[in-house]
Amino acid sequence: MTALVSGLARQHTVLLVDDDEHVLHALVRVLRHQPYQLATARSGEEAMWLLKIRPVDVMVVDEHMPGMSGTELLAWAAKNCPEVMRIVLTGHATVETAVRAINDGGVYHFFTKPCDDVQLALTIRKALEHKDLLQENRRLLAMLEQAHNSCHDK
Amino acid sequence: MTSAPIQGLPDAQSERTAQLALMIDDLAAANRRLEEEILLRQAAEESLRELSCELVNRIRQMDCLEAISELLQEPEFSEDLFLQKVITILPAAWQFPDIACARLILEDKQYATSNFQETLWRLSAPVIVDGGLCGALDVCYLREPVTDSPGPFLRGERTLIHSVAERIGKLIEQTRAEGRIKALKRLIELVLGATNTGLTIVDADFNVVYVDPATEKLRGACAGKKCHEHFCPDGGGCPTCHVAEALRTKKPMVREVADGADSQRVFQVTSTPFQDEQGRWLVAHVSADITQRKAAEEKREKMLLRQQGVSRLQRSLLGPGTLEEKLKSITEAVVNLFEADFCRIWVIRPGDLCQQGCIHAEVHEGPHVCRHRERCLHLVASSGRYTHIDGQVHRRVPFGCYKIGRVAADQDTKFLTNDAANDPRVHNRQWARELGLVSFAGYRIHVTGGETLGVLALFAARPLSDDEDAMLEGLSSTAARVIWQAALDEALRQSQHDLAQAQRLEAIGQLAAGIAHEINTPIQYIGDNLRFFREAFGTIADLFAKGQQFLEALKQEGGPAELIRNVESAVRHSDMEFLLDEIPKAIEQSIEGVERVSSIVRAMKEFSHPAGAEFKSVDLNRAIQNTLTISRNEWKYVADLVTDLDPELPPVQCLPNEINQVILNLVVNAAQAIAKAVEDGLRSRGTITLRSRREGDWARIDVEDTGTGIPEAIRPRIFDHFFTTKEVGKGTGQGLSIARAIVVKKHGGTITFQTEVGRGTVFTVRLPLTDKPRPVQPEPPKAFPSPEFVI
Repeated sequence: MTALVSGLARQHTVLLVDDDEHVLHALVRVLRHQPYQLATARSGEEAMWLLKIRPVDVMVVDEHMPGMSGTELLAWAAKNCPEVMRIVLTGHATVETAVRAINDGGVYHFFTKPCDDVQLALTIRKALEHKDLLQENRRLLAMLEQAHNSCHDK
Repeated sequence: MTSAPIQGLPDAQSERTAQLALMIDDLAAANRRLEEEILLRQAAEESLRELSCELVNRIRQMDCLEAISELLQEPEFSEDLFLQKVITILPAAWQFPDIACARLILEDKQYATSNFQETLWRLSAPVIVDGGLCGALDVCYLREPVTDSPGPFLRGERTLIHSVAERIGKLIEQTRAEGRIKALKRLIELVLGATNTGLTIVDADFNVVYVDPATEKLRGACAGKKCHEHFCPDGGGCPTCHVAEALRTKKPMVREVADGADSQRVFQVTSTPFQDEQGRWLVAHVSADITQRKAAEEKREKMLLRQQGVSRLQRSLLGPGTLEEKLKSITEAVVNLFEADFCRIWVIRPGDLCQQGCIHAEVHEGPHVCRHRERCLHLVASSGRYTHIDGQVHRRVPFGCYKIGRVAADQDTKFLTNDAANDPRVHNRQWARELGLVSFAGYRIHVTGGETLGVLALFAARPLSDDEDAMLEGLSSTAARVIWQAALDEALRQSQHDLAQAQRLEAIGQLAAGIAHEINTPIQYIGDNLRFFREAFGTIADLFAKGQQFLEALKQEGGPAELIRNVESAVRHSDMEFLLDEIPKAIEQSIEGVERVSSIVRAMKEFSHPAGAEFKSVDLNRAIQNTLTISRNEWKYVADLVTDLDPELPPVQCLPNEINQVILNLVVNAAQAIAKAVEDGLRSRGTITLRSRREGDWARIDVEDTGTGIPEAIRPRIFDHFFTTKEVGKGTGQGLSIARAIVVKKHGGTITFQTEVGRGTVFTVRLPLTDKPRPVQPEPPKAFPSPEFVI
């Protein structure tokens, strides 16, 4: 993993969370050419730890994991690092899972296994763009506010 | 003789004088005596005259009494006439009959001579009956009689009138008593007659003293004969003779005697000894005809036994046992309790032997053609003379034919004849005659308000009474309840089975969903890895091409020959050309395989959706595709699959699991029908066509096969539970019945089929697209010319 490029052009990071190592390896293989860094976690707990120590832009989470479930992780993330875009990739696609993921986890997209790698890559890209736009939006708003405030101060 | 001497006369003279004086004295004395004698004589004569007069009167009076007595002896005796005659002859007994008249006043009656007048010269006497004054008898003289008697009437006449009055009183007493006795006798005879009781009185010498008129009429005059001449045909003197016995014990004795021409009548005889007024011992036999009572008692006893038997039967029917056992116990009870010759029960069930030698199926004309194949009468129980239930003729009876079939078809609610040997409705009278069968009864077995379930029928060698008829009808109702209960039990078992089946399906569904989830994860990375291989191998192939170019260039520029040779040899050995060709193909095929696995898993997941208990919008085309995917193994070896699905078909509100099951069952059936056709050598491979169409407010699915077709005989039954023609292990016989239940009961749809033996079958399912679809005239698929069977 190369060092982050400074400034706005810093490289994005995508966190893949799945208890099955094969899935993680395979995803890393098919996504290796994508213009972002890939980080992996083999459990919800590991993912939480990672989210705390490094910036993450998009997380792709499996639902069914021993220990902390995907939904719980997403709910935690929605509360503690809401700026991280959340995508579900699960083999246990039940209505309840989907409902909880959307309501508690506020997910951006919901994939069922098996999913097409191209579709997944595309969605991650879109999520990143979405996030960047949001961030830009926020930055511009802050600038506007600052300008506004400085106008008033004078 | 000595006499006193007279004075002055000589002795002689004096003696003479004395003698004369003596003589004069004597004469005077004689004269005096004579005078006395004359007086006496006169008195005697007077007395004699009086006496003779009285005697005449007496004779008159005696005559009168005698005449009265004679009147009493007259054969045509009547009180009125007698009294009138007495009055008429009474005046003649009086001293002066010419002026005598008589009258008798008796309570409100009056008898008088025609000249009767009440006068001063009247003689009366009271008529006393039973100690009380009842009337008066008067005799009057019409004028004063000239008589020297002190009064007009003689003493004897006073006596006479009292005597006659007394006689009349006695007579009236007697006739009244006789009347009472007569009335009593009449009453007794009336009572005897009314109570059907006979009374015979016999004396100690066995002489019949009295026989009541009814008995006498029955047996002929027997008064004065010996009792045993009439009543004991075996002759008298029998040691158990009840006359002798009653006379010996002096106590009444009661016996029952069978009597009558064929001893069919039963009498209860009470023999009571008694003494008449003369102290003679007599025996009165009072005989009551108790035949009816006896018969009634016997009947009651029999009825009681029957009731008990029926109660026992009903108790036992509540216990465990198969339907056949229970029905058999009913026929057994009918034979035992009703003395039936034999009794049988038939139950209405679908015809099952039509193709297997049922002789009724062969009848094609006459009144007994079997017109129903979907139901006929199955003999399930038989007791009595015949106990087998597999006889060629009776094991099945066509619905609506013969007595039994007609009762079953409700054409006759029951059939009862007490003249089986001659009743024209009885089919085999000759046989009944030979076996001495008198009555035949057939009863509909049905639950009130329900359909007819079967028939109970019996033959008996005696007539059946109304009571028995009613009881047998009751037993038929019992049989109905037994059959009904068995049907309910069966339905319960069925629904339990269905439930178990549904639970099993749900469990399988859940398992399948779980497995699908598990499979999805490896599929994910296998797919990812394969795509990675594909990409990576592209890179490697490019690299290899570059290497080849480099090797060529090196060779031309005279590079190290040894190295070049080694590399070229290694390339040749590795068969690189082939690898470059085949590895991408292998990868592509693997990707395809993974996709297929994932599609199967998806279909399985959708097919066995565990939460299928509610109505959902379902794309039937997708349901068909899913079903075909997972059932591929069932058909791929015997049939090609053609789908002709209407892309415009709107989604249908249905229970997805259940509809999937229907399609699966139909596809599996189609595949098995084709497999059978292949096995039979009809063809080597068949075609299953699935068609979906919209028909107005209905969605229609056709599942068509080129299998064996359905034989006519079993067409009505293919939707029955557990009906199967498949060999054991191949099918449970539930597929079509479940399909029908799902389509018709749960979805309000229809399931129909067209079939032709040897060519195949089309099953058509129609599901409503709206809540209240307009019924469409179903347009049958044009595959076969045969009519559509609507189930």
